[in-house]
Amino acid sequence: MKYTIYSLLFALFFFSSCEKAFIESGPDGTKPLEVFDEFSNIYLDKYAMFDFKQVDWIALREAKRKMVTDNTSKEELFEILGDMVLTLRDGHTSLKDLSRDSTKTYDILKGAPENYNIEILVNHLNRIKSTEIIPFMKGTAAYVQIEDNIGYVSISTFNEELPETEIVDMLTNLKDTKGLIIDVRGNTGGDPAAASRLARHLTKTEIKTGFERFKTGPFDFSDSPATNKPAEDGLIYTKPIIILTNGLCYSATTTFIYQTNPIPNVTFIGSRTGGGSGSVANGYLSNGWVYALSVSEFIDNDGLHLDDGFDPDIEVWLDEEVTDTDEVLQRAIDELN
Amino acid sequence: MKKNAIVVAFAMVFSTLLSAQSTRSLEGAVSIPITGVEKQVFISVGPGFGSHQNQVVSLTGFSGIGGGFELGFSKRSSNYLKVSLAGRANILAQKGGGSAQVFEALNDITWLKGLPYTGKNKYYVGGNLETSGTLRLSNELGNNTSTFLFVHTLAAMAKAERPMGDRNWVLGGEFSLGLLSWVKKSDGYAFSAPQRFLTEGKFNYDDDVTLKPYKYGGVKPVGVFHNLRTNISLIKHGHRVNWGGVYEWQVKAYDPYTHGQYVNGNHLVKFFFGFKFGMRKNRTK
Repeated sequence: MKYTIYSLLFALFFFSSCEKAFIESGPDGTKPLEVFDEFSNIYLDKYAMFDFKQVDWIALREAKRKMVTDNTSKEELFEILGDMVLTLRDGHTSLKDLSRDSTKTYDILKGAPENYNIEILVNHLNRIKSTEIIPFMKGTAAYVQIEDNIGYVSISTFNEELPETEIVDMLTNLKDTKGLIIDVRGNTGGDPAAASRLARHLTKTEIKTGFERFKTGPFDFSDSPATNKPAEDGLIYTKPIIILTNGLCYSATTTFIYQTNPIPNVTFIGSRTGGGSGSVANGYLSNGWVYALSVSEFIDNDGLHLDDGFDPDIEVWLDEEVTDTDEVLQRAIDELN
Repeated sequence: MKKNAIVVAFAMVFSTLLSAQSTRSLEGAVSIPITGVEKQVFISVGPGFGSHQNQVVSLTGFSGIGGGFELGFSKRSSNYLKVSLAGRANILAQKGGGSAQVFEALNDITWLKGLPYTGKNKYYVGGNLETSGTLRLSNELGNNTSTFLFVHTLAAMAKAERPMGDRNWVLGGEFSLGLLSWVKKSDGYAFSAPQRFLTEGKFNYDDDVTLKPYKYGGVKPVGVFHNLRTNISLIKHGHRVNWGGVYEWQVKAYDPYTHGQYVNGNHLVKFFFGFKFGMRKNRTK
């Protein structure tokens, strides 16, 4: 019987080496063609907007693959894959070589002016504010009451915690204003749940805002309906609201825009947003490069794809020669008066 | 297929213990050091080696070094009871340069019935309930910086012990095969929602889809979620203190959808120290 226990102990050692059987082997990152194939298959599997961006990924892959051989250097391969990333015209999609601190990513401004100048904005606010400026979201946002009993809120990022209590404090302090300006210019996004949390306080009724289309396989999609439900605490701002936008409004800010666009008392002023409606997935290629790509896109109730941008109701451009007046802000004040 | 073959082999080895009964008499047998009731509070700690694969973030696996510990209580009489808390941490890398840190916290309750076997070897069979949380961190990966895996596993377990020589050393082995697990894995492509929420069209930022550990999990049997564990020990049983070395291996593997494979494995070599109390001895030779 002693052999039973020794046999069992041998079996235990044997099983301990079977871990590798559970791990699927993948590329080792040393062969350029393997890395190329890994990259292009990941994008084929996960990237959600080839049709909308009008990119034939399979044809592009075939054309670019001919440029890759076993002798292709890392730098050359990075340029080839980077070109493929830029073809998608998607600010959420990028490729990074951390060892050389190199990144390939699309310019969401597409060469257009920012239409936003913080110094001009501050000069203008200092002229017209009627209360002190109160910061929130750890100083990345602020609100103030300005002339003509209008509330002004600036939210520079959604990449900071936005607790329900801070939203309640802000709206409680501004509840007696006759209108509200929410300035999201320069807000390149962050947490879409934070954006949705704010949007809930701007609608009285539950509204369908569209749907998010997820890529679930190389040629498969799934649509998740999106809604904006009123905040449960009942604190809803129901007076006229103007949201200021520019080309840097991206990602979670687009979430905020699509959650508020169907609300009847909301108007948008400024310039076309950058877009970025999709949710983003990140990962490593086998050679250590980091990729990011959009695994979904948002399509609103009118069938509008928001990833390339959203046009405001009223287009206004900043004149940077006039340093004490923000024309976009001024137009919003005029609309509320 | 390979994974299931290993699980079947594991089960077959387990089942050999059920045939380990013998009616051989005590005459001429050398007893194991402890035949009375032994209670101890123990700690084991030591370095290890880990491997990890999460195809959601990389098709290539990670491996590297780390360590772990276990604190607990055990009671051995004719049966065996153990309650313990354990922790593990590994710093992992891919050949190509990607990196990950994996942290695991576990709580285990084991109850085993001693088999009616007389002679040098002592066998136990029974089960254990393990609750664990595993966190993978890769700081460079934006939305995919972290993956959480929460698991409760009900497992079948067996244990064997054999005294070595006449200086109270005991060679032991355990293995545990998870039969049924409740699993919550926090990433679909990049979200705290399960993949099925994306696939079935249920995802909405306006709904409460969060990292809450007990939301949106599911029960998975062996074959879908694998949780295998082995343990080999060599412990000297003293009057008040037990001490020795332990080698421990565990693997959790889950393959919920195409290119969603998740594997986390640990090998640990630990120093073991147990403080005994309330022991009644009954030595015979």
